[in-house]
Amino acid sequence: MEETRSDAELLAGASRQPDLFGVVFDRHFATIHRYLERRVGHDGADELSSEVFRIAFEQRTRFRPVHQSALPWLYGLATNLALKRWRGDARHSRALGRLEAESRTGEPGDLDGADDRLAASASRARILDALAQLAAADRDVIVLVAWEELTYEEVATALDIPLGTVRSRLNRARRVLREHLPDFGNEQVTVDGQERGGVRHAS
Amino acid sequence: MRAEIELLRDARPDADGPTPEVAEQARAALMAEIAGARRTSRWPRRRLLRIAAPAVAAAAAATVLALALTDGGAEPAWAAALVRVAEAAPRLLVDDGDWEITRADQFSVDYGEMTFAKSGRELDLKWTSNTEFADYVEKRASELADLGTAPAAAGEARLLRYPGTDEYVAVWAHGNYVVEARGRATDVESFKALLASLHEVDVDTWLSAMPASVVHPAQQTGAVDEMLAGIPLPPGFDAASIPTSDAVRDRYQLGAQVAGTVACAWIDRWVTARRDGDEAAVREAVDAMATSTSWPILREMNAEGDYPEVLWGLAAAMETGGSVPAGRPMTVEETYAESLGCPSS
Repeated sequence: MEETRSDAELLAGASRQPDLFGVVFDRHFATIHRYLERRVGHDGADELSSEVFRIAFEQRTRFRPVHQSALPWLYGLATNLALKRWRGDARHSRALGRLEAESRTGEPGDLDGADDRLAASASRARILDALAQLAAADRDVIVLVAWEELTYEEVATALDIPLGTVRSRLNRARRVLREHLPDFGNEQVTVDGQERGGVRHAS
Repeated sequence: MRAEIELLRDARPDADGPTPEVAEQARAALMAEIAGARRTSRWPRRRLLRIAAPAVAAAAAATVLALALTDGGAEPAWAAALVRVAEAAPRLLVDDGDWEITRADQFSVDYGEMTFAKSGRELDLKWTSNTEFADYVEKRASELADLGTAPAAAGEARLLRYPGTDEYVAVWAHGNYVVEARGRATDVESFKALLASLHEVDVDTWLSAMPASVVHPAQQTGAVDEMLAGIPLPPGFDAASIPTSDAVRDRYQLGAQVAGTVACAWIDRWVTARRDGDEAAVREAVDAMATSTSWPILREMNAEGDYPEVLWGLAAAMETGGSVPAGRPMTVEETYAESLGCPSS
């Protein structure tokens, strides 16, 4: 029978019945793995995603049910582990470099011509380069919003920061991205090969 | 306003997700962690119920550590084995009389852990020898946020925090031991203050601070006999098969050992009887396990932790032929050995 209880209910029960944590794992392991894959590469994700759930289980009684889903909390643990890895062994740039390479060799999607694919690939590489220039704290926020589609409130929970800090970090991240991508505002071809009006610079 | 977000979203790297093998390995590792949590002191406990029924309290009083043999009101005389442990271990107490030791799980010369509590706050302390301090710190620092150093018990501790939580950890070297303190705090300064209040005391002071739930090694045999009362034993069961040790151990832990060994023996017989088609033996084992809800030691332990409920869940599944929740439903046969910590045959 499918488990219908929310993550918050399962985690509350897991303090007395640890096995319930297995359901939380089954629900979210793949999502957390994909997130870590985008941030530290496939091999790192294999290692860290397992560690995320080990730590989460160890801290299951510390879960604060701000949201019914445990995902923001798990994203927070994953983000911290990714950050520690980057700091620990300076793999950050290598990981992003690997992501760029993987992106370049990815499926072309609905692009029609080789020129468009090349342009899209180059654009993606530049955007990822710009992302790498952000302060880690700012990058965490914008990645959780843009790639993982968390709400600002969920990001605040994930990173254990006030909502206002989420907004200020997001604004700073966007500003720095604009500085590193000055011509994107005028380009018509974006990474998906579709025409778009370009980035609007704040006046 | 959201153009940068959309641009970034479009540049999101593809991710394949985990392979089935990776997911299975991660799940297995987690299940092992869960199984370990079920049968060790890391199991979350409910508050210790200090006021027990008179009969239970009397039984406990007969087996507790605090049988300090006073000699006309002079210094208490502790058993030699206990003094050996106390002399070697880091004898740390919080320098605030309102902090009490509420838990002192089995500890020996090489390893020990205890919990201090005050007004809902808790501080877990554990110490271990045979561990390289640098390796230990490196491992902990690899998974926690590093907050630098802070004074602790006449030493300097590495201060860490579980990312995204208010749970702090301090690790320091104390003689041949690595000591770890762990607890929640409103902020890092509050945790530092608690850490700074840890101080080493003499043997008598330390032993006198132990909770009344700690079983003295020399008392284990008597405690085991007392715990077996009211438990139906499988034919041929030998109480000597219950593992004992020269370590000081918490009554809860010893109770799990006693009840678990008996239950494992019954379930072993049940598994064999089912395989052999011996209906009478199957029924005998099911009936015996069905009485587990009234085993006195499990009822006593149920006030502290979840070991009894796991055992009762297995007993119920034996009766109904149902499954046991273990992340995914599992049969009794699949899960009982790990769940109860059965001795390997």
